[in-house]
Amino acid sequence: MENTIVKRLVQLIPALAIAVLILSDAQPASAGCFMKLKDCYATAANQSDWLDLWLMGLDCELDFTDCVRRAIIGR
Amino acid sequence: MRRIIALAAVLTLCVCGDSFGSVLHKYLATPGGVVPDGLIVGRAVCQGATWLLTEKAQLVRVSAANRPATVHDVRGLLLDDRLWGLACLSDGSLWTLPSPRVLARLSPDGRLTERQNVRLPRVGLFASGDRLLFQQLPTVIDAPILATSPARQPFDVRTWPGLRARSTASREDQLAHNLVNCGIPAGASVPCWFVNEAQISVSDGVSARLRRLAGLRASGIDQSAPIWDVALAGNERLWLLATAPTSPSGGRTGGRLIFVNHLKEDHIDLAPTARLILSATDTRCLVLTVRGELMEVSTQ
Repeated sequence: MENTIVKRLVQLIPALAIAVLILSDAQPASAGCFMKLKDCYATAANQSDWLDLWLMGLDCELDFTDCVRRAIIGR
Repeated sequence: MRRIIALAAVLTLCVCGDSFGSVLHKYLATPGGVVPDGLIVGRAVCQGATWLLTEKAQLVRVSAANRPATVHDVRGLLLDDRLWGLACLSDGSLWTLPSPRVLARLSPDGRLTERQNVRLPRVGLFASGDRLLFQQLPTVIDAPILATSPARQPFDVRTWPGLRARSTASREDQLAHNLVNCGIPAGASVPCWFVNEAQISVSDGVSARLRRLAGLRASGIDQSAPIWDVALAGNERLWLLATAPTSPSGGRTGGRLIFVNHLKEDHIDLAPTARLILSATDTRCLVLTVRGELMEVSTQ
């Protein structure tokens, strides 16, 4: 029972993250990165296993960080 | 002969007229095309040369004494590799991140060797003396954001005093707003800054101090990310490349070079603007312009 609740909560994380993204104020230089992250989270949310979901979410964030640093740190 | 004439022509194009009373002077040291196109994803200065790593997987060596640059294609990349960061240790070895979880040595002719996995993903790579200086994830609010380790002992991690991770409203802002960049060190001291802040943390791994520059608040500087690049030139001197207002294409560059000597600041506006600082001493600073020229700014 408890396991089911935890699983549902974990599955909600990407959806909440997307909502925060939509409401947040993205920076122009990296605006495309925020959109890619949103799409990546949406794909991750389709994973049925919570561990896959979590790992894919982490990869989304690494890709996002790479995108932002190329946009604002790359010379 | 033709090259000498071209160089002489470039040198005669000395552009010193927009320094607003500054004691700084600039001149183009070489014509364009010194460094190949492609986003520069890493820069390291050591043993009399500056090394640049581009997104197109080219390793460039620029030497103040021996121009022009030498370029080598990076070899040994795996399919999913996306190079980021370049660090040069005190023994002259070059290191980069082919992916956030892999550290690799880069030979001077561009060969990737000594691939090793790191426990936590690294998103920035620099150097201080004989240790790699890096930013790793996950970010812990209010904890030091940088750490060091020997290149071949990646688990011997020490926190780096100075910048601490900032809290933000959302997780993605936490990732984006806590990105750190570091400039050219002097000895073990490394200047680092958050990309959207107007202050520099200078640390040698033991202690750290924050430097705020009045000149960064001037008009003509992009206040959303005012620091473009920094090079230390001793304890009390540094060169800072301030970010020009964003171009219509959205690209950012360094538009003003500020020289800080103790508490005194001088500046000179750059035209063309600069991609980054290549090297610096206490009297001279060499920058790479957006047109691929080397421009030298001197205090004399």
